[in-house]
Amino acid sequence: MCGIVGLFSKTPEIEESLGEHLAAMLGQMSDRGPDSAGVAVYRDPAPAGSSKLTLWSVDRLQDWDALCGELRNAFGGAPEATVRSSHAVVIVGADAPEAEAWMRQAHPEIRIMSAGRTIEIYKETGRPEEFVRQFALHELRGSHALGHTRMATESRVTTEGSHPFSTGFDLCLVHNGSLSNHNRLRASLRREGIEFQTENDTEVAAGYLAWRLREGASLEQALEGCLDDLDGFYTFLVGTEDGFAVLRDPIACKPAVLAETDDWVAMASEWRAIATLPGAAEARSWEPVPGVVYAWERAKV
Amino acid sequence: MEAAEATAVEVVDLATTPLRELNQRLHDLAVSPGPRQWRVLNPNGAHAVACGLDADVQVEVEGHVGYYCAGMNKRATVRVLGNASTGIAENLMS
Repeated sequence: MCGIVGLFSKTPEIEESLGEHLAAMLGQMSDRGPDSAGVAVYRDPAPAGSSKLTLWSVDRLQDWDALCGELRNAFGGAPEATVRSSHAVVIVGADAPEAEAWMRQAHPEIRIMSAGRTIEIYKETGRPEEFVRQFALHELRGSHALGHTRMATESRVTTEGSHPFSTGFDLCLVHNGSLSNHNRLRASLRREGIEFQTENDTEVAAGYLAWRLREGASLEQALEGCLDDLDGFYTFLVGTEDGFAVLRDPIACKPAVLAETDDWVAMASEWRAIATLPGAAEARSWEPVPGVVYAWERAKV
Repeated sequence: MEAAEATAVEVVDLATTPLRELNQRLHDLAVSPGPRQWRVLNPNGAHAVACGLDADVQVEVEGHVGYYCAGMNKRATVRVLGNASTGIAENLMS
């Protein structure tokens, strides 16, 4: 089934308690997806000239300090790893493309969950309540966040197969539904130079968006492209550096609810996740229309 | 006495009472007498609220419900003062 949640803050108070609210929303979606959980939190921008990587290691005894030493030798500065369970967030003294390229080359055994300026992606197998506890989600402050609880249907239950999938710098996707043409599409996208790490259908949608964006489409155009090029049913929630976007397939088999107050914008698969938020009872709430892209972004000052 | 019983409303707050307890009490009405009017508070999008009723009673739910509210209903009247989702009043028995 899968469950999706998203929260975009409009006030400092909501930013301060973003992680707490995200944890409560994710908990409500646990029934929809007991296999795995994951979040993308946008927070703590990396200083100019540097970028942020979120890394996952299978090795529970991964020496993150040693890695920071290597990064210091390569790029200077004083990189530190903020460790959360099996993941570590590292600020690298280089821009995102360079940092990512270095990591892939120097440590192919370490999985890059996300790269960019503000995004942090954490995802893991196991029950959502356990995930929330393991990653101390309630501690995190940030401007906006997406979350996902997984009921795997098309591919195995693995850490890499969990959502969100990162499609580009500060970009990510969560998905409720299943795609039917993902094998064929994966092959075409590979020919376009897009790489895939898993057999997951959602990763194909993420790769599709990355490809369209690379070829010059806006996020809205790339999402509208999904209506023509993806076969299957989906509610998508896409995270960007500045906000998020929602799209349901034209038949809208999969649920989605949107709600907005003066303090926040929220999206979830079910109202009961949004009901946990302060002021939910007075929120303007609606179901997104099938085949229409809804997007929110923070104005650039 | 009869007039008072007819107008007395049983209030159940789902913020403090488990949904299972509410539904069980409503099911019990099929076999033993109880309140005829019910008010359910703070559904907060819960699923399967007031399902499987089999008694001539009235249930008013104040707020939004989730899926399958009032499913498998026989003889009762259920009113939702809010939004309802998939399967509202599905599988009506009468």
